[in-house]
Amino acid sequence: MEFDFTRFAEQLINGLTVGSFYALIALGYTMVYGVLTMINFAHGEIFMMGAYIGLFSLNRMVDAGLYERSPITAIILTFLAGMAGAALTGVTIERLAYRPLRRAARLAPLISAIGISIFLQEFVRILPAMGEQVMGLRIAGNPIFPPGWQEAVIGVLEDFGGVQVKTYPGIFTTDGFYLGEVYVTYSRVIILVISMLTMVGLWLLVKFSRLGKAMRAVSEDKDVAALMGINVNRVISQTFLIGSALAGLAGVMQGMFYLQIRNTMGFVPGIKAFTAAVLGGIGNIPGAMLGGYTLGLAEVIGIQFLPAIYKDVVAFGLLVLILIFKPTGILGEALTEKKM
Amino acid sequence: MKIKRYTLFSLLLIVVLLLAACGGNTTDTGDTGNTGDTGNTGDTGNTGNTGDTGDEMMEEDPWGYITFAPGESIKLAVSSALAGGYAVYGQDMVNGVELAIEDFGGELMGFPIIVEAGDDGCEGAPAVTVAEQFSADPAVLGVIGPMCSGSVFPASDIYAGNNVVMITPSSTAVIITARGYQNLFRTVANDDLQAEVTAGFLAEDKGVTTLGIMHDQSLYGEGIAQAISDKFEAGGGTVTAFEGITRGETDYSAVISEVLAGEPEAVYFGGMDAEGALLINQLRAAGFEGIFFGPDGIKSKPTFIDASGGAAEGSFATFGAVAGAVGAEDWATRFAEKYGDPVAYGPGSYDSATIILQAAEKVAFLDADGNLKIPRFALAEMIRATPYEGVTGALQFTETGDLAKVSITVFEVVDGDFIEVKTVDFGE
Repeated sequence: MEFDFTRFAEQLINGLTVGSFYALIALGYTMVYGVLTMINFAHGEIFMMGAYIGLFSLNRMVDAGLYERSPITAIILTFLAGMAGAALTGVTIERLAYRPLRRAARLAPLISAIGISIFLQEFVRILPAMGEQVMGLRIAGNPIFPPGWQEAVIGVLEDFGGVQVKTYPGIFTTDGFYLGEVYVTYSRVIILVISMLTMVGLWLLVKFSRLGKAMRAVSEDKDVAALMGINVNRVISQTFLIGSALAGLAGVMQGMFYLQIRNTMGFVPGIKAFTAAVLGGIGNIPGAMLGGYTLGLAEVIGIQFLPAIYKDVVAFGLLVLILIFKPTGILGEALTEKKM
Repeated sequence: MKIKRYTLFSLLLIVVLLLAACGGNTTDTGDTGNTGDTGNTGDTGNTGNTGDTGDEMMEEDPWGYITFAPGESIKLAVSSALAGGYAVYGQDMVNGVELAIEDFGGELMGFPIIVEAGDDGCEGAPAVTVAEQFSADPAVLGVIGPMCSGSVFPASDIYAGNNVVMITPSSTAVIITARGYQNLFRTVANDDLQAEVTAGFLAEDKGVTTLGIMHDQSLYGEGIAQAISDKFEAGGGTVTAFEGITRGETDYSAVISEVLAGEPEAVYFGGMDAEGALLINQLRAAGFEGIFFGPDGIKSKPTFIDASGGAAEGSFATFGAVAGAVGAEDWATRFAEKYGDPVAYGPGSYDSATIILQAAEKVAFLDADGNLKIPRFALAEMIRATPYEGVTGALQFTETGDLAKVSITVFEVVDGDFIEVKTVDFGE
């Protein structure tokens, strides 16, 4: 087979785009693992919630005419709403489902996470039906809620969730430019720029801010950190907040650039991002970024030489190989006995 | 040593459970034997009678009977995706069956009819579990579904083994009816016909000579993609690529780059609407300007056209239909009032349920104790033998359970909706 440079370059850009999503989501896995040594399997669903909350706010802004007047403001507000919604979801999950289990056996929070993951998926799906049931409640034959409410409430809930695939309005077209012979859409450039800026920002935050220092201290040793006057619970909450906001950002981005969102959309990216986090060394923040891009690139480079159905085989094969030779991942340091 | 002890223990456990299960069965038959002593003597009387009166007594049904004691409910079962990404189709099927039962009058010879829905998630393994559950339930009259070919394929083995009648309103894979099951029917055309029409349309009407093919690796998607590939090459065309994508992902641009490397004039996708919408959007973003074509799985306005952000404009899809629909518009209005517009398989499920109920009414009888009895084999044969006119058209089954008469229509997306372009009729 002749080497086709244009196609190779095209695939590199494809890989970087997918890798950006993996990296953004992987950061949440790795940060939570860093402070709690647990895998938050509901993280993919936080990503999904970000996409749904973002779309819901965007629809409100379209209704209010804000989108018409100033699309850029509306888009930025959509991102902020998605991130805030995802962050709130993440922090709530931590408070309700993980904190009570912090002293429990290691597997308990894991099972709790899987439960939350299923709960969120189905919650979004049945929300309109649930609203219909609740609004239709009667006491002694009389409806509890006034008749006008029912339609209003169900209308809002249907706008938020439901069984059907939801669609973001097509804001970004398929327009683009030629980089040499390679066609690059503007949306890809935006995805890359947003992700990379966010990750640099996060890295600076962890490295240089007080919160970052506290997070690193908690991940080193919770008890000693507490003795040093760090409010461990608050740091854990803040970690969830930041990790979930990143997933929310990825969720809104997915909706804006790929248009479709659905309640099961978190599963595959969740698994892939978890893989990326392990690949880069779980618990290590630059590792998660590196792992995300490595996985994205491995997928696209693999299928240039093998049929496309082997894409995941190549990616996971790479994971196995790396873990054989470096069991802690690319950038992972050896875990201490306590962290295990 | 430890492992060995565990193996031994689990083996023991299995044996105990098996024994318990068998014991349960024997006591069960013992029970029915006790209450149904008359039934037993009836049987022996039967053999005695054949000598005397011959034709007067009914012949024993080779598949046995479904028996309902007075007051028991008859269950019409639905196996489909009730949660997850395809739940919207599953709910559509349940709605269709519910409406069919309501229109039938809600009861059969005084026995109430109810819907029993099982979630197979459009996957093989859960469909088998659901099939085992339905087959074990003595009150299940028949099954509507499963929805996806990938679940029908393994589940139908279970239904066939237990002589449970099943009609799928949606599974189109060729292999489904190619296995000689007498309990299995479908109210849609099989994929060979869709492939024939698609390949013919592309080559003759559109003058396409090179085709890139993608599929979603499901039994349905890969099956129809393969059929298209065969027919298109048999017609003298060239297939430039045959690649699979993974369901549930969102960025398919890597696979698309591979497919477009062969510079095909048209791209065919064997799969479902959600992935179809992502693909057409990303194909256009990758600079592809040719024809995009898909099977019935993508023919959905909300989840393909609307979810593609306008990129679906000018795409094509085939859909199998049957001529001679009776009162379809009036039916659609009634359905919409209750459940909202039918999504895809609501009408087919309605017809499937009605076919089973009408056939059951013809073969059902009350025995001496007032029990309702439905002979299983006679039920299947009645379904096969009776022409039916329903909301999806005039349905008549062949020996294999396929439709005798069917037409395939090619649709084009124009101004955000599917417009009929061409219809090909099959059968007499």
